[in-house]
Amino acid sequence: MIDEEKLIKLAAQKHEIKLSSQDILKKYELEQQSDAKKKRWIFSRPGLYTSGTILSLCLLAVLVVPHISNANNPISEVGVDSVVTDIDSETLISDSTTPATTSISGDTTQLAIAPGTDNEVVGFEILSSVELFDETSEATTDSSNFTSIKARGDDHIGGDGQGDGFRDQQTSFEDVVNSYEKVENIVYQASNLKDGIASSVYEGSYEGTYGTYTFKVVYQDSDIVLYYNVAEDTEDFYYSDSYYRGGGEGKGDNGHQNVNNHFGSRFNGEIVLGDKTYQTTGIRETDDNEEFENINLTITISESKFYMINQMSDEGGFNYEYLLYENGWAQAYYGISVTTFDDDTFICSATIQDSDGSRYDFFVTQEGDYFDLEYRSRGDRRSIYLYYLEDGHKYVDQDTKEEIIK
Amino acid sequence: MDERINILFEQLKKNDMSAFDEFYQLTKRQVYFSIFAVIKSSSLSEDIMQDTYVKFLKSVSKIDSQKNVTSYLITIGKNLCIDYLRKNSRVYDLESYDNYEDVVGDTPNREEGQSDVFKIMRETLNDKEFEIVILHVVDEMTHKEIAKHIGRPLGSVTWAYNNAMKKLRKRMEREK
Repeated sequence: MIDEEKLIKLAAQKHEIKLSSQDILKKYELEQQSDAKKKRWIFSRPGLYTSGTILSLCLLAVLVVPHISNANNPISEVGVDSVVTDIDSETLISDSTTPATTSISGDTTQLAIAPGTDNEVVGFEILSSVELFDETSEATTDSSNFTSIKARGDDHIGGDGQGDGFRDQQTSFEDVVNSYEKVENIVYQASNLKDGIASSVYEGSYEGTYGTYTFKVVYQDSDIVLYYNVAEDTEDFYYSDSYYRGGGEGKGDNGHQNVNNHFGSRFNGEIVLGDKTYQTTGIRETDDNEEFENINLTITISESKFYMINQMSDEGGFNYEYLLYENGWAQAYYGISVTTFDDDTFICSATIQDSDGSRYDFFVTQEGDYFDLEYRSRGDRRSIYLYYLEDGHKYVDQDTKEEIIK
Repeated sequence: MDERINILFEQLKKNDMSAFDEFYQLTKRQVYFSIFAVIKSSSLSEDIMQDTYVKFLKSVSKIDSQKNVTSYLITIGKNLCIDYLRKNSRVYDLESYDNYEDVVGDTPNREEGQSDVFKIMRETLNDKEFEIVILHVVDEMTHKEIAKHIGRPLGSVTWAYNNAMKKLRKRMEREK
């Protein structure tokens, strides 16, 4: 271990952690008590997408689901059967009086009660107040086009699942419902209900200017995944299938792993070059800060041959790959990768592997005041240092130590 | 130690909170420094560590026994750090000077100079280098584990670590 490491280790060992286990247990108990009193789901997400309409509709889907009567539906026991209820907007608004179904009371928790064999309570412990998106006004304007929501909740029953939402701005449940009074043909479907699972799936569709938008929201713990696609754009047969993924946590290899807010769009289209037309499919993903971008594009040449282009960039660098696949095998590969560590330090590497099997690697790295330009191919390796000087620059061959160009 | 942690973890899963104190003592340093690596402030790190354990306790009964519980805690802590930085991104830069003082100021034995090491690290290394060095040296994570933890290529982690060490060496030589 080098001296610097020893010093750091020593500093860490002597660093006092004041927090005690009792402090933690005290907070844990307080939160447990608080949770027991106020179980609710707050489902929202600020400034989410360019299409506020879609998101607000999703929000609506989440909001209206718990209000729909399940009284005549065949939930026989928790964990099985399904519910499908058609209900119009008038019923939706007034249905709060339906016995043994739902209750609406401003800021309180909702319970949808379905009369199963044991009169079990099917509880959507949902929400009373939610944050509205910045695009609310736009969504409200467009709501007249809204035709249907189909929502399916694999939702929380009993159990203690709950999710933290964003609480920056809140509005009452009634306000939201009232802003969607033209909603019609609500379909609510609940299936595969399992005790204690806090996950929901809501699907819907919306007639927009450019075609039919369909959307799907998956909500599991505090992880939210939203998909939407736009179909039947008759002008250029283009469709996109976009999604948002965000929230706090998703399941990972080590339990929980953070899922950053990622947005994406899938696309299908055609590239026309001269008299030839090639099918393309792809996906573009970004995060909410636009620091991360991932693009995958596939161009199909024939049944057995296609090109794949991958481009990924984030704050730490850039990676570009171009591959030619034929009969299932990568025949050629061209890649370039740049990793930056700070303004003065980076690694740039490029690889060319051609369909004849030849391969060339290039590396450019910065070491102090010079760049190391390295070339490798089939055992050959050549390293040339590039120095920037006051009066120009020079190249020095590292094998011969000779200055080769100035 | 890992075996003992696992035994205590099983007790916690059965809601036996008497196991928590020992469990905390055995895991806290690793969890704390994984948070400190990102947050760089001792008091804030303790706040986030408290939330980490509270969150852990809330879900402990559902956690798979096969999981590495320390990694699980570290991952929860990392997520909470990201949430914190996201929510406070506008003010964090402004606060960072205070945070530096915070770390130096509330650390005992300052006269022995150990907290100066963190101060030097913060002044010399960028955020990512700081995190990688703490995770490697203090939390004893391998470069491969760090790469997975922070979502960066292994080569980048190795490069950043070596680069950080070079920077620290130069800086410490100057300090002498």
